[in-house]
Amino acid sequence: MKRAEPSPTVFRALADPTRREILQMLRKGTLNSGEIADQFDATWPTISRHLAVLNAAGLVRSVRHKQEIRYELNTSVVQDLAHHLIELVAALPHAEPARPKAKRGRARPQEA
Amino acid sequence: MPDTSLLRGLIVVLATYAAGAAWYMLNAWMPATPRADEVYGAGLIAFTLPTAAAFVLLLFDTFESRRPLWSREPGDRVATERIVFRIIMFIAGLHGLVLSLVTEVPWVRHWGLQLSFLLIGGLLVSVGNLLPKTRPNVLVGIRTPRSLRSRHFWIEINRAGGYVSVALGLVMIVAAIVLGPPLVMQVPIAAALAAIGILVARYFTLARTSEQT
Repeated sequence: MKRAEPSPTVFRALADPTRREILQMLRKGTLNSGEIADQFDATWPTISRHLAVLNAAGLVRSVRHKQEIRYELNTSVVQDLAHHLIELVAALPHAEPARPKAKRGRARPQEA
Repeated sequence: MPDTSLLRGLIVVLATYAAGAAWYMLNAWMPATPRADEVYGAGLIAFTLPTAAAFVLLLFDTFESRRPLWSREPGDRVATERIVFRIIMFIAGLHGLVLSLVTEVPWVRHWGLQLSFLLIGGLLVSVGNLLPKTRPNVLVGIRTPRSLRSRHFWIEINRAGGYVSVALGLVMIVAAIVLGPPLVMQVPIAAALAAIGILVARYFTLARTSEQT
Protein backbone atom coordinates (compact mmCIF):
# COMPACT_ATOMS: atom_id res chain seq x y z
CA MET A 1 0.00 0.00 0.00
CA LYS A 2 1.25 3.47 -0.86
CA ARG A 3 2.13 5.54 2.19
CA ALA A 4 1.06 9.15 2.59
CA GLU A 5 3.78 10.29 4.95
CA PRO A 6 7.46 10.89 4.25
CA SER A 7 8.98 7.78 2.81
CA PRO A 8 12.42 7.22 1.28
CA THR A 9 10.87 8.27 -2.07
CA VAL A 10 9.86 11.64 -0.63
CA PHE A 11 13.29 12.31 0.86
CA ARG A 12 14.99 11.16 -2.33
CA ALA A 13 12.81 13.59 -4.27
CA LEU A 14 13.59 16.41 -1.84
CA ALA A 15 17.33 15.73 -1.91
CA ASP A 16 17.79 17.33 -5.32
CA PRO A 17 18.08 21.18 -5.40
CA THR A 18 16.36 21.44 -8.80
CA ARG A 19 13.36 19.52 -7.54
CA ARG A 20 13.20 21.69 -4.43
CA GLU A 21 13.32 24.74 -6.68
CA ILE A 22 10.42 23.34 -8.71
CA LEU A 23 8.37 22.88 -5.53
CA GLN A 24 9.14 26.45 -4.56
CA MET A 25 7.95 27.68 -7.97
CA LEU A 26 4.72 25.72 -7.71
CA ARG A 27 3.81 27.52 -4.48
CA LYS A 28 2.81 30.51 -6.61
CA GLY A 29 0.39 28.47 -8.72
CA THR A 30 0.13 25.75 -11.32
CA LEU A 31 2.64 25.59 -14.18
CA ASN A 32 3.17 23.36 -17.19
CA SER A 33 6.47 21.59 -17.81
CA GLY A 34 7.52 24.13 -20.46
CA GLU A 35 7.03 27.06 -18.08
CA ILE A 36 9.04 25.23 -15.44
CA ALA A 37 11.82 24.30 -17.89
CA ASP A 38 12.11 27.97 -18.96
CA GLN A 39 13.29 28.86 -15.46
CA PHE A 40 16.26 26.44 -15.59
CA ASP A 41 19.32 25.91 -17.75
CA ALA A 42 18.49 22.22 -17.96
CA THR A 43 16.74 20.74 -20.98
CA TRP A 44 13.01 20.03 -21.07
CA PRO A 45 13.45 16.19 -20.85
CA THR A 46 15.58 16.64 -17.70
CA ILE A 47 12.89 18.78 -16.08
CA SER A 48 10.27 16.25 -17.15
CA ARG A 49 12.25 13.53 -15.38
CA HIS A 50 12.42 15.68 -12.23
CA LEU A 51 8.66 16.23 -12.43
CA ALA A 52 8.12 12.48 -12.80
CA VAL A 53 10.15 11.87 -9.61
CA LEU A 54 8.14 14.51 -7.73
CA ASN A 55 4.91 13.04 -9.07
CA ALA A 56 5.89 9.53 -7.99
CA ALA A 57 6.68 10.82 -4.50
CA GLY A 58 3.25 12.47 -4.33
CA LEU A 59 4.73 15.95 -3.89
CA VAL A 60 3.19 17.34 -7.07
CA ARG A 61 0.15 16.37 -9.08
CA SER A 62 -0.39 16.59 -12.81
CA VAL A 63 -3.78 17.98 -13.76
CA ARG A 64 -5.17 18.06 -17.27
CA HIS A 65 -6.28 21.61 -18.13
CA LYS A 66 -7.83 21.84 -21.61
CA GLN A 67 -5.09 20.60 -23.96
CA GLU A 68 -2.14 20.84 -21.59
CA ILE A 69 -0.94 19.10 -18.45
CA ARG A 70 -0.28 21.45 -15.57
CA TYR A 71 1.50 20.66 -12.32
CA GLU A 72 0.28 21.72 -8.88
CA LEU A 73 1.81 21.42 -5.43
CA ASN A 74 0.56 18.42 -3.44
CA THR A 75 2.66 18.40 -0.27
CA SER A 76 1.33 17.71 3.22
CA VAL A 77 2.30 19.91 6.17
CA VAL A 78 4.99 17.44 7.32
CA GLN A 79 6.40 17.19 3.79
CA ASP A 80 6.42 21.00 3.60
CA LEU A 81 8.34 21.18 6.87
CA ALA A 82 10.80 18.54 5.62
CA HIS A 83 11.27 20.62 2.46
CA HIS A 84 11.97 23.79 4.45
CA LEU A 85 14.32 21.92 6.80
CA ILE A 86 16.35 20.48 3.92
CA GLU A 87 16.49 23.94 2.29
CA LEU A 88 17.76 25.37 5.57
CA VAL A 89 20.45 22.71 5.96
CA ALA A 90 21.50 23.08 2.32
CA ALA A 91 21.85 26.85 2.77
CA LEU A 92 24.33 26.43 5.63
CA PRO A 93 27.82 27.62 4.64
CA HIS A 94 29.54 24.31 5.35
CA ALA A 95 26.95 22.24 3.50
CA GLU A 96 28.56 20.65 0.47
CA PRO A 97 27.34 17.88 -1.76
CA ALA A 98 28.44 14.45 -0.54
CA ARG A 99 31.46 13.07 -2.33
CA PRO A 100 32.68 9.51 -2.40
CA LYS A 101 35.33 8.98 0.23
CA ALA A 102 38.86 8.24 -0.88
CA LYS A 103 40.02 4.71 -0.12
CA ARG A 104 42.03 4.46 3.05
CA GLY A 105 45.17 2.44 3.58
CA ARG A 106 48.58 2.35 1.99
CA ALA A 107 49.05 2.10 -1.70
CA ARG A 108 50.49 -1.15 -2.87
CA PRO A 109 54.23 -1.01 -3.35
CA GLN A 110 55.04 -1.14 -6.98
CA GLU A 111 56.69 -4.25 -8.20
CA ALA A 112 60.26 -3.88 -9.29
CA MET B 1 -2.83 0.21 -6.01
CA PRO B 2 -6.16 1.75 -4.90
CA ASP B 3 -6.35 3.50 -1.55
CA THR B 4 -8.00 1.32 1.09
CA SER B 5 -8.94 4.07 3.57
CA LEU B 6 -12.70 3.55 3.23
CA LEU B 7 -12.39 -0.24 3.62
CA ARG B 8 -10.27 0.25 6.74
CA GLY B 9 -12.82 2.81 7.93
CA LEU B 10 -15.58 0.22 7.55
CA ILE B 11 -13.56 -2.31 9.59
CA VAL B 12 -13.04 0.28 12.35
CA VAL B 13 -16.78 1.11 12.36
CA LEU B 14 -17.63 -2.59 12.74
CA ALA B 15 -15.06 -2.87 15.54
CA THR B 16 -16.64 0.07 17.42
CA TYR B 17 -20.06 -1.57 17.08
CA ALA B 18 -18.57 -4.83 18.41
CA ALA B 19 -17.00 -2.99 21.36
CA GLY B 20 -20.32 -1.25 22.07
CA ALA B 21 -22.23 -4.54 21.91
CA ALA B 22 -19.69 -6.23 24.20
CA TRP B 23 -19.99 -3.39 26.72
CA TYR B 24 -23.82 -3.52 26.47
CA MET B 25 -23.88 -7.23 27.32
CA LEU B 26 -21.24 -6.86 30.04
CA ASN B 27 -23.20 -3.98 31.57
CA ALA B 28 -26.41 -6.03 31.63
CA TRP B 29 -24.57 -8.90 33.34
CA MET B 30 -22.42 -6.83 35.71
CA PRO B 31 -23.72 -3.22 36.02
CA ALA B 32 -21.22 -0.45 36.72
CA THR B 33 -21.64 1.72 39.82
CA PRO B 34 -22.99 4.38 39.79
CA ARG B 35 -25.27 3.31 36.96
CA ALA B 36 -24.38 5.59 34.08
CA ASP B 37 -26.78 3.63 31.91
CA GLU B 38 -29.70 4.65 34.15
CA VAL B 39 -28.99 8.29 33.37
CA TYR B 40 -28.22 8.07 29.67
CA GLY B 41 -29.47 4.64 28.65
CA ALA B 42 -27.12 1.70 27.99
CA GLY B 43 -28.08 1.50 24.32
CA LEU B 44 -27.29 5.17 23.82
CA ILE B 45 -23.85 4.79 25.41
CA ALA B 46 -23.04 1.61 23.49
CA PHE B 47 -24.19 2.59 20.01
CA THR B 48 -24.32 6.40 19.56
CA LEU B 49 -20.68 6.91 18.59
CA PRO B 50 -20.44 3.79 16.35
CA THR B 51 -23.55 5.05 14.55
CA ALA B 52 -21.93 8.49 14.20
CA ALA B 53 -18.84 6.82 12.66
CA ALA B 54 -21.02 4.78 10.29
CA PHE B 55 -22.91 7.94 9.37
CA VAL B 56 -19.67 9.79 8.50
CA LEU B 57 -18.56 6.90 6.27
CA LEU B 58 -21.95 6.59 4.58
CA LEU B 59 -22.32 10.34 4.12
CA PHE B 60 -18.92 10.64 2.45
CA ASP B 61 -19.48 7.70 0.13
CA THR B 62 -22.99 8.86 -0.84
CA PHE B 63 -22.00 12.45 -1.50
CA GLU B 64 -18.83 11.63 -3.38
CA SER B 65 -20.43 9.03 -5.63
CA ARG B 66 -23.56 11.07 -6.41
CA ARG B 67 -22.03 14.54 -6.65
CA PRO B 68 -18.88 14.19 -8.72
CA LEU B 69 -19.10 17.93 -9.42
CA TRP B 70 -15.99 18.73 -7.40
CA SER B 71 -14.03 15.56 -8.14
CA ARG B 72 -12.64 16.61 -11.46
CA GLU B 73 -9.42 14.60 -11.32
CA PRO B 74 -9.08 10.88 -10.54
CA GLY B 75 -6.70 11.48 -7.60
CA ASP B 76 -8.82 14.20 -5.97
CA ARG B 77 -10.55 11.80 -3.58
CA VAL B 78 -7.46 10.17 -2.05
CA ALA B 79 -6.65 12.80 0.61
CA THR B 80 -10.33 13.23 1.47
CA GLU B 81 -10.75 9.48 1.97
CA ARG B 82 -7.71 9.42 4.26
CA ILE B 83 -9.14 12.29 6.30
CA VAL B 84 -12.49 10.50 6.61
CA PHE B 85 -10.59 7.43 7.90
CA ARG B 86 -8.85 9.59 10.52
CA ILE B 87 -12.18 11.08 11.64
CA ILE B 88 -13.56 7.55 12.05
CA MET B 89 -10.47 6.55 14.04
CA PHE B 90 -11.05 9.60 16.28
CA ILE B 91 -14.69 8.61 16.89
CA ALA B 92 -13.55 5.06 17.67
CA GLY B 93 -11.03 6.42 20.18
CA LEU B 94 -13.68 8.62 21.75
CA HIS B 95 -15.99 5.61 21.98
CA GLY B 96 -13.30 3.64 23.79
CA LEU B 97 -12.78 6.54 26.18
CA VAL B 98 -16.51 6.87 26.93
CA LEU B 99 -16.89 3.12 27.53
CA SER B 100 -13.86 3.15 29.84
CA LEU B 101 -15.25 6.15 31.74
CA VAL B 102 -18.70 4.63 32.32
CA THR B 103 -17.10 1.32 33.30
CA GLU B 104 -15.16 3.28 35.93
CA VAL B 105 -11.68 2.25 34.81
CA PRO B 106 -9.67 4.07 37.54
CA TRP B 107 -6.77 5.59 35.57
CA VAL B 108 -9.07 6.61 32.70
CA ARG B 109 -11.34 8.35 35.20
CA HIS B 110 -8.35 10.26 36.56
CA TRP B 111 -6.84 11.15 33.17
CA GLY B 112 -10.12 11.47 31.22
CA LEU B 113 -9.77 15.19 30.44
CA GLN B 114 -6.14 14.84 29.34
CA LEU B 115 -6.94 11.77 27.22
CA SER B 116 -9.78 13.56 25.44
CA PHE B 117 -7.47 16.50 24.64
CA LEU B 118 -4.84 14.04 23.39
CA LEU B 119 -7.45 12.54 21.08
CA ILE B 120 -8.59 15.93 19.77
CA GLY B 121 -4.97 17.05 19.36
CA GLY B 122 -4.12 13.87 17.46
CA LEU B 123 -7.10 14.40 15.16
CA LEU B 124 -6.13 18.02 14.46
CA VAL B 125 -2.51 17.07 13.68
CA SER B 126 -3.37 14.15 11.40
CA VAL B 127 -6.21 15.91 9.56
CA GLY B 128 -4.30 19.21 9.35
CA ASN B 129 -1.31 17.42 7.86
CA LEU B 130 -3.43 16.14 4.97
CA LEU B 131 -5.53 19.27 4.49
CA PRO B 132 -3.20 20.84 1.86
CA LYS B 133 -3.56 17.67 -0.24
CA THR B 134 -7.35 17.97 -0.48
CA ARG B 135 -9.06 19.40 -3.53
CA PRO B 136 -12.52 21.00 -3.72
CA ASN B 137 -14.98 18.45 -2.33
CA VAL B 138 -18.31 18.28 -0.54
CA LEU B 139 -17.24 17.29 2.98
CA VAL B 140 -13.70 18.09 4.11
CA GLY B 141 -11.74 21.34 4.09
CA ILE B 142 -12.35 25.07 4.22
CA ARG B 143 -15.37 25.36 1.96
CA THR B 144 -16.44 28.87 1.05
CA PRO B 145 -17.94 30.15 -2.22
CA ARG B 146 -14.53 31.59 -3.11
CA SER B 147 -12.54 28.42 -2.35
CA LEU B 148 -15.03 26.27 -4.27
CA ARG B 149 -14.83 28.61 -7.26
CA SER B 150 -11.03 28.64 -7.53
CA ARG B 151 -8.93 25.49 -7.25
CA HIS B 152 -5.79 27.54 -6.56
CA PHE B 153 -7.49 29.48 -3.77
CA TRP B 154 -8.72 26.18 -2.28
CA ILE B 155 -5.18 24.79 -2.21
CA GLU B 156 -3.77 27.98 -0.68
CA ILE B 157 -6.36 28.44 2.08
CA ASN B 158 -6.39 24.75 2.97
CA ARG B 159 -2.60 24.80 3.16
CA ALA B 160 -2.87 27.66 5.67
CA GLY B 161 -5.64 25.75 7.47
CA GLY B 162 -3.43 22.67 7.62
CA TYR B 163 -0.58 24.58 9.24
CA VAL B 164 -2.91 26.18 11.79
CA SER B 165 -4.58 22.85 12.55
CA VAL B 166 -1.25 21.03 13.08
CA ALA B 167 0.02 23.81 15.35
CA LEU B 168 -3.19 23.83 17.39
CA GLY B 169 -3.13 20.03 17.64
CA LEU B 170 0.46 20.10 18.91
CA VAL B 171 -0.47 22.74 21.53
CA MET B 172 -3.32 20.49 22.70
CA ILE B 173 -1.10 17.40 22.89
CA VAL B 174 1.63 19.24 24.82
CA ALA B 175 -1.00 20.82 27.13
CA ALA B 176 -2.56 17.39 27.75
CA ILE B 177 0.82 15.87 28.64
CA VAL B 178 2.33 18.73 30.63
CA LEU B 179 -0.55 20.67 32.17
CA GLY B 180 -3.22 19.67 34.66
CA PRO B 181 -6.72 21.10 35.11
CA PRO B 182 -7.77 23.87 34.66
CA LEU B 183 -4.84 24.96 32.42
CA VAL B 184 -5.30 21.88 30.23
CA MET B 185 -8.59 23.45 29.09
CA GLN B 186 -7.68 27.14 29.16
CA VAL B 187 -4.49 26.94 27.07
CA PRO B 188 -6.07 25.01 24.12
CA ILE B 189 -9.12 27.32 24.14
CA ALA B 190 -6.85 30.39 23.96
CA ALA B 191 -4.80 28.69 21.23
CA ALA B 192 -7.98 27.81 19.30
CA LEU B 193 -9.17 31.43 19.39
CA ALA B 194 -5.75 32.61 18.18
CA ALA B 195 -5.80 29.93 15.43
CA ILE B 196 -9.22 31.07 14.19
CA GLY B 197 -8.01 34.70 14.15
CA ILE B 198 -4.88 33.79 12.16
CA LEU B 199 -6.89 31.74 9.68
CA VAL B 200 -9.49 34.46 9.11
CA ALA B 201 -6.71 37.03 8.58
CA ARG B 202 -4.96 34.69 6.14
CA TYR B 203 -8.22 34.10 4.28
CA PHE B 204 -8.80 37.78 3.63
CA THR B 205 -5.14 38.38 2.71
CA LEU B 206 -5.29 35.56 0.14
CA ALA B 207 -8.64 36.82 -1.15
CA ARG B 208 -7.21 40.30 -1.66
CA THR B 209 -4.14 38.89 -3.42
CA SER B 210 -6.22 36.71 -5.73
CA GLU B 211 -8.46 39.69 -6.61
CA GLN B 212 -5.41 41.75 -7.58
CA THR B 213 -3.94 39.05 -9.85
